[in-house]
Amino acid sequence: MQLKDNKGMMEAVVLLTANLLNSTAVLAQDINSAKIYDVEDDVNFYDEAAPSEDVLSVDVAVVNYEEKGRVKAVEPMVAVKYVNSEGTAFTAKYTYDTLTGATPNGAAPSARLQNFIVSSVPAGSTVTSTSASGRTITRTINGNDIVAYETQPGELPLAYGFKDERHSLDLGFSTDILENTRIALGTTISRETDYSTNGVRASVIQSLNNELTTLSLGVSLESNTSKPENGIPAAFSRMDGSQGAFESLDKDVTSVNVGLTQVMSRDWLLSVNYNYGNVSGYQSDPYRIVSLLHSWEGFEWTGYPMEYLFENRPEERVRHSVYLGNKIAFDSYVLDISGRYYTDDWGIDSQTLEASLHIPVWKSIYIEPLARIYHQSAADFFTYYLPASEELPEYASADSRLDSFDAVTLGLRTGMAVTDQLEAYMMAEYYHQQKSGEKGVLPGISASYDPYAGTDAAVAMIGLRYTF
Amino acid sequence: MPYLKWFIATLIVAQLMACTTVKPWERDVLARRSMSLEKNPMFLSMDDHVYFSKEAAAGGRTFDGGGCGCN
Amino acid sequence: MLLRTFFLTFVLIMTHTAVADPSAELASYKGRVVYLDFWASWCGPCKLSFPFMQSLVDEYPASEFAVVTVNLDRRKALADKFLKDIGGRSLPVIMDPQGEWAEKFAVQDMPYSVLIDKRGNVRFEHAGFHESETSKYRAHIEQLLAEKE
Repeated sequence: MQLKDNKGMMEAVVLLTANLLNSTAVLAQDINSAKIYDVEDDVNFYDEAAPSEDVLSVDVAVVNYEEKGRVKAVEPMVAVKYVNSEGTAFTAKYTYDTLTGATPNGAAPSARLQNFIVSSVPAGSTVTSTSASGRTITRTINGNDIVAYETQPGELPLAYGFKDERHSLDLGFSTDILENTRIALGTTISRETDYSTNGVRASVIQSLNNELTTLSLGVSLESNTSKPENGIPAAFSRMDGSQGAFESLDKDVTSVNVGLTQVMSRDWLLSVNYNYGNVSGYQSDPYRIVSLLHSWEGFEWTGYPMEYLFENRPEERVRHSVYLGNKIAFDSYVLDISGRYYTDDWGIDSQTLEASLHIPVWKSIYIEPLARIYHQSAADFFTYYLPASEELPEYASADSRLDSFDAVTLGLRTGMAVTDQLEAYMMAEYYHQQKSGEKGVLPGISASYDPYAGTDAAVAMIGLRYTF
Repeated sequence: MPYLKWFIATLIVAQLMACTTVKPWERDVLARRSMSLEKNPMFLSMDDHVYFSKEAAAGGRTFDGGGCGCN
Repeated sequence: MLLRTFFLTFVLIMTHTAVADPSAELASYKGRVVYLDFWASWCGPCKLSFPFMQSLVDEYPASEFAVVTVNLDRRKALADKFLKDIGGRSLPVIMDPQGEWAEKFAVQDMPYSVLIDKRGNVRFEHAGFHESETSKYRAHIEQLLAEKE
């Protein structure tokens, strides 16, 4: 503070002197000539304000996602953003996803070899099988060609040779309708070989308190259609390769979002967000099964799979989440710390805590280490298997997304201004996931196997942004 | 967990009560790229995608607010 | 001349004010309409206001009209970079890192411009800069120019 006061006074003296000498044009350059007042000459690119009006920017990036021994995905994307001189913005983003690899099919590991039938086709028709992986076999039984795959004893059953492509387009528009009121509209379209999504969203953003407070209210509607090649199986139907009971089924998602952003001080920005979601329709995974295991005590066969039944999830789901985030600046460092609490009527509660520190490096670079911890409880109907000795429950799923687990993410983000208009950025993250609470125990001879299906993942992204 | 909701509400109110008045010309720090809620939207959407595919939870941040507050 | 400077500096140090009373500063502009503009390097719309202000200086006679800008950056390097980037001819800049001028003129938004008439009274205030409203800004200036002193 002392230094600033002195600087101001000296500048005032120069100003006064100039006036006394009758020069009315006090140019910045005149004061510049007294360069001894400059404490620093170079300002980090990320300490500067991003252009907010009359700007066109294009982003090109690619993401690589890998789960050890499981799913691999490569995702290139292109995004364009244009803001005119009055602040009206247009955005467009196209993403292309290719997924390959293996994913757990929901069945539990077993002490014996397991065989899973994908589809059974009438004799005479041709079926292509993926033989290279050594997991997919084609043979003829009872005049029908059957496509199936095997899992070795003790292994977690994974469905191999699956390949999927996804194209996704998102368009957005926002503009001021009143001096302090803004509206934003958007639409998302996504297409996969067996799944499609169409969504629209709209929100109103109100600025209050001389733009220190920002309130937003948004609604989004999304319609999804699941249309697998072999049809959608009826709930708890057997996995015998027959055509599913339904050709396609829909799922609708309605969400409401209420947000508040408050400028707490010159260096501190606070965000609070509440999200309500209502999902209605077909929510099961048409490919996922649950093992029906022999569970009568004391038999030689206790623990052996008797059937594989397609899973069944409820047709309704209501979810709530509350988010609280802070961005606090210390010199040129910025600490981002946020938390989120989530709950839904499937019995899942989750807590998330995330922190990152933006660290400026030299004049044009920043690095940002980040850490995130996550916990979720299992869905009420989550189970590793169905005991054959009991009546079937109303709902059941063995999808690890619905299991109880803890996850830790460690990552590093970085950005670099190659020129004033070209920014390069990279990010690498490692996601570690592990079972939370009591480990699942399978009956009989399968008791020694861990049915937990979650896994670690590594993600990396590299991109470029050019601003015209 | 009935107390959790009250705890969160109290936390939010306490945070809101701590705010000071920032003049329109004092928003230099808030205008920085490093203080933007959308510093890199590509990173944010990538994270959302990864977490959505592995976790049951959904919902997160807003992007409106902060910044220079100009015009 | 030197003695006056000495005396005023002494007064300044004693009263701990970074810049003396702005109305005294603007006294030398009496008899002319003044477009007083508050800006900062971090303000996007400010980039668009500078060419407009330069066109005003070209349009209206210097004996009747003047543009004076007040910079509110806390880091001078940022203000310098901004002025270098927009190029063109330079407009007068008063450095006000402590925001004392902004406080005295009750700046409500960024950028903010205040129109002062020939007698030195504040007559119009424009919050923000909108290209769609430049004809309105010009109308205000011309109204003040038409007035006698």
